[in-house]
This record gives sequence, structure tokens and C-alpha cells, in this order.
Amino acid sequence: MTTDDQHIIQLFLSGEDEQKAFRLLVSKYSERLYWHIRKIVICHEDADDVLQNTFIKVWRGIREFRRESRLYTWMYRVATNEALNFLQEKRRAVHGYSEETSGMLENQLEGDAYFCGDDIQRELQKAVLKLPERQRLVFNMKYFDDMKYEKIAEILDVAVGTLKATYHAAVKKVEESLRLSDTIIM
Amino acid sequence: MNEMTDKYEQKNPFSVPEGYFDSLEDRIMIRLRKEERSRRARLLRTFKPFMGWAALVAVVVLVMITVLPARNEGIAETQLDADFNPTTEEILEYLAGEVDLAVLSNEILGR
Repeated sequence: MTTDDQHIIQLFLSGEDEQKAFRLLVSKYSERLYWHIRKIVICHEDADDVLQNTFIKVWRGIREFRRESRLYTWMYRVATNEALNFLQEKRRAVHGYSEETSGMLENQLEGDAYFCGDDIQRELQKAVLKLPERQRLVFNMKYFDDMKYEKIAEILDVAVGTLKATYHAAVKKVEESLRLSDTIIM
Repeated sequence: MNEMTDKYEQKNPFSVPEGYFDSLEDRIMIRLRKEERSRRARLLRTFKPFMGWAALVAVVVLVMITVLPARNEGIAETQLDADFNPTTEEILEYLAGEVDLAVLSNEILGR
């Protein structure tokens, strides 16, 4: 845990200025959590909602936060769970069980006003969206966020070996999808 | 994978509305305050039907706290009296100070 995080938690636990401690937390983590969430839910408005819900959960849970994990790891976990639950709820509310989450997200990607990538980037995103949930998470964190396996393992609570296998399987699938869509020159 | 990384060099194809991150902190704090207010209101709504009963229980507890110790003190004094077991000499000594022994002995003997 970094010194800053310890300072923030101390501020919280002392009860002196919880709002100030929370503001520090938001200021430090909101942007990276936003991008983590955004890659899961795709749509900006949804990412904004999920991010705010994440911080509300963090506010309510931080007093019981067990220091055996890092604050950063714990917040990533909260954000991941919030994003995945949000997708499940949204799919159920909008489509019942008739559509796969990947199909719903592909449609969102097509209509996303805040997607600034080119066609090739769009194809890559679509290929990633076809991955099973766990593989997609691992791919996003490793490929897009350049996170170390050890850190991802801590967040997702899985062994590093399992993660490596998951990532390689995801890469193969993405490459295969891109080859099929004929947008990658192998 | 290297070919893929080269080709998709621009890693983050998503963007956000202008100024989004500048106002994010304030919006989260506003949302937090709103949530806390509505949470307190929800709690109040949940417990409102039981508030009359809670007040009654509070009154009963208050009465028990204030009245029972007073009664217990009385019991304690009574217990202290019951434990008091003076000898005949002590009684006579006490009475000597209070009454005339000659009159008392005449009363006892029925004279």
C-alpha cells in the first residue's frame, strides 16, 4: 500500500474528516477506474454510472476494508464487480435473456459517440467483445492497461499461471476473429 | 501478438466528453451526499412505524431504571435490619437509656 493510501485510510478511520479523505480517494483513483470500467461496459454514460456506484460502495465499505489487500486492488475489485453486475442487469432489463452480452455491447460500440478509434480499432474491440467474460477482463487489463500478471492475479484472485493461460487463449481467439474479419495482415 | 500490437498501436480508442474528468470529483461528491440523504430517509421510513413502540419501550426502561433501584435500596435496608441480631444485654443497655427500667419491669410483671 502506498503512503498516500495509508494516509487516506487513517483519515477515514480517525473519523476526523471523512469527506476530505474520500475526496482524496476520488481524485487519485477515479480516472483509472473509469477506464477500467469503460472497457467493460463500453458506453460512456454507463461507465459514468458504474463509476459513481463504485465510489458509493467504496464509501460504505472502506471502514470494513481489510488491510491484507491493497486499497487499489480492493477498489479495482469493487469496480469490476459493479461493471459486470451492471451488464447483467442491463441485458436482463433491455433484452431479457434473448441476447448475449457481447451482441448487446457490439451494438453499443457501433453507436458510441465517444469512440474515436478507426475501423481497425473498432474491429479489435468487436473481437475482444466476443471473448468470454473472464478472458475479456484479462485481455483488457493485460493488453490495453499493460498491467503486470501479479497485479491482475491479485485483483481477480486467481493464480498467475491460470492468468497466463487465460490471456494466451484470449489472444488466440482475438487473432482468429481478426483474421476472419480480414483486418489484420498476418 | 507483436504484429497485433504494432497494428493497433493506439491502445485506447475511447474518449470522454470535454471536461469530464475535471468535474468528475465534484459530481461524485454531490452524488455521495445525495445517496447518504436518501439512505437516511429510507432508514427513517423503515423505522417510522416502530417509533411509537420504541418510545413506549424507552419509557418503560426509564421507569425501570429510576424506580427499581429505589425499591432495591428499601429491600437492602430491610435485609440489613433482619441481619441485626443484638444480645439480651445489648437490648437492656439500649432500653436503659430510653425508658425507666423499674417501670418497665413492673409492666412486664403485671403490677
